[in-house]
Amino acid sequence: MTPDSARALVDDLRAGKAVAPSRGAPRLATWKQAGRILAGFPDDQATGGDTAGGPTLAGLRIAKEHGWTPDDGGAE
Amino acid sequence: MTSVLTPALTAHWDEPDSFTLAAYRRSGGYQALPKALGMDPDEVIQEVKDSGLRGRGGAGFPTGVKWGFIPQGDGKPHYLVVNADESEPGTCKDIPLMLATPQALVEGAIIAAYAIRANRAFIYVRGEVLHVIRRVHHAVAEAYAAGYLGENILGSGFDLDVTVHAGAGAYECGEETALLDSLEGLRGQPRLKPPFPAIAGLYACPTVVNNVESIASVPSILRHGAAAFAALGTERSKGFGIFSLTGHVTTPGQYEAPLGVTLRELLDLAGGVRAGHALKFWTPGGSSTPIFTDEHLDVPLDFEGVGAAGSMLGTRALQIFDDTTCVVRATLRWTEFYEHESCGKCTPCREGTYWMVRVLDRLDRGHGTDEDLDKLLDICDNIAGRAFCAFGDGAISPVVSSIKYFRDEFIEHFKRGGCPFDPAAATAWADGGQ
Repeated sequence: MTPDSARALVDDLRAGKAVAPSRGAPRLATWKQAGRILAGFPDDQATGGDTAGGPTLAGLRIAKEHGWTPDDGGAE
Repeated sequence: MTSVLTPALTAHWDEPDSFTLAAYRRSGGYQALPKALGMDPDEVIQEVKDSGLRGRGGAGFPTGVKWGFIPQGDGKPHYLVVNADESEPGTCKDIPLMLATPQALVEGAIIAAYAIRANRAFIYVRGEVLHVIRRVHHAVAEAYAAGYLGENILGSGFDLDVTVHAGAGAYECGEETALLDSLEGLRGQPRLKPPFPAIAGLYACPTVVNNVESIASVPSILRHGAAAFAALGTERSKGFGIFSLTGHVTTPGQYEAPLGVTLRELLDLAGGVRAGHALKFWTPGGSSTPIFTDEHLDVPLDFEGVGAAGSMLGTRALQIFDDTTCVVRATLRWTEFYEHESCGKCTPCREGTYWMVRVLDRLDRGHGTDEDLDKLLDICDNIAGRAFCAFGDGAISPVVSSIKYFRDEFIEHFKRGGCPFDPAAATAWADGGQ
């Protein structure tokens, strides 16, 4: 986030535009919807959205480039 | 060839459907469960002990030993509680794990519950991470539908129910006894120990509280054997762990490596500290662990190595700060967090964190004096070891360690009557970066 992107987000929210979270579900939940999920009544969005953001995969990407696996780690 | 990174928990995070049961099975998931159910529960505990797995939530207590503390044949219900209330500043490993591969956690929880003879397990997830809660609910529902949860699991005669519980977002509820109080519906405050949860935990019954990453490591230990896990890491800190690099790094992110890797090795892979700047200080395990400086780049990041260098491995949350960062400001921000999150049960922690913020704020503005530094250290002395839980000890870590390594910078603030740094230069968008 930068000051500009934060301002744009707040402007969009105030204007009632649909805002997508940078991670997670495709749709932003309202407070009421969120409250229901927290209470143990999930909505139908569990399978939507991504599984991992770019930084989450940074190490995995490097390991794959080098062909590194746990099987040969530590074998010095 | 030796692998610097060893993706085991993170190996399948890049598959778009990795959170589903089908994807988890495709990558060898639920092969450990039938194996475990075919063993005696004590053999499962022994296997985990042999692997050398130590708690991944910060304290590093051997997981198998913890399971072994549960009294057997006592006629009381036993409980497994998974601590998924990840909230340490800088720590971000359990959340992505539950988002990407929640089934690893569920399979681990079933095996752990079987080992300690528990028929009820709870996953206490931080309430702010709504999508993670959805994913964990989804994973538990899929496991029920496939017969991995419920009655007579895989025909073994073992029953287990798993409840996903959303926490209300208090940092203190990540402390195991406060978490248990919260789970019981009480205000989240730590309990006096002993008795430890293994004797009197949830509803005063024997309870194991384990971190998400610890539990998620269990299936791979059972599947590949304790020896394969113990082959990684160092002599007393076995296996792999997720290292989370954040802050002034070229490529921040999750790097899964054997314990004992160094920050120098990890920074090499992550492209180093952001361009044009040098490393100033960093935390090895989140804000509750004393900070390190560029002298400590080659400290092996295992429980013993970090301990010997004067800090703690904690949750392997490597927060990197470059030379644009004011250490006084950073310490003030951390202390404001602790002041806000102190549960208030113990006076030294509640009052101490409050006053530390006042003193640090004055120092940051350049109105402090020499005496303020002594006052800060005196407050820290009065908090250390004088609270029910480790919160107090964590809260003083950044203060004591930053004064230890950067006393001159504190003094510089009141000599010049203000902060010598430009706060804008430390932001992510300084120098046109994103």
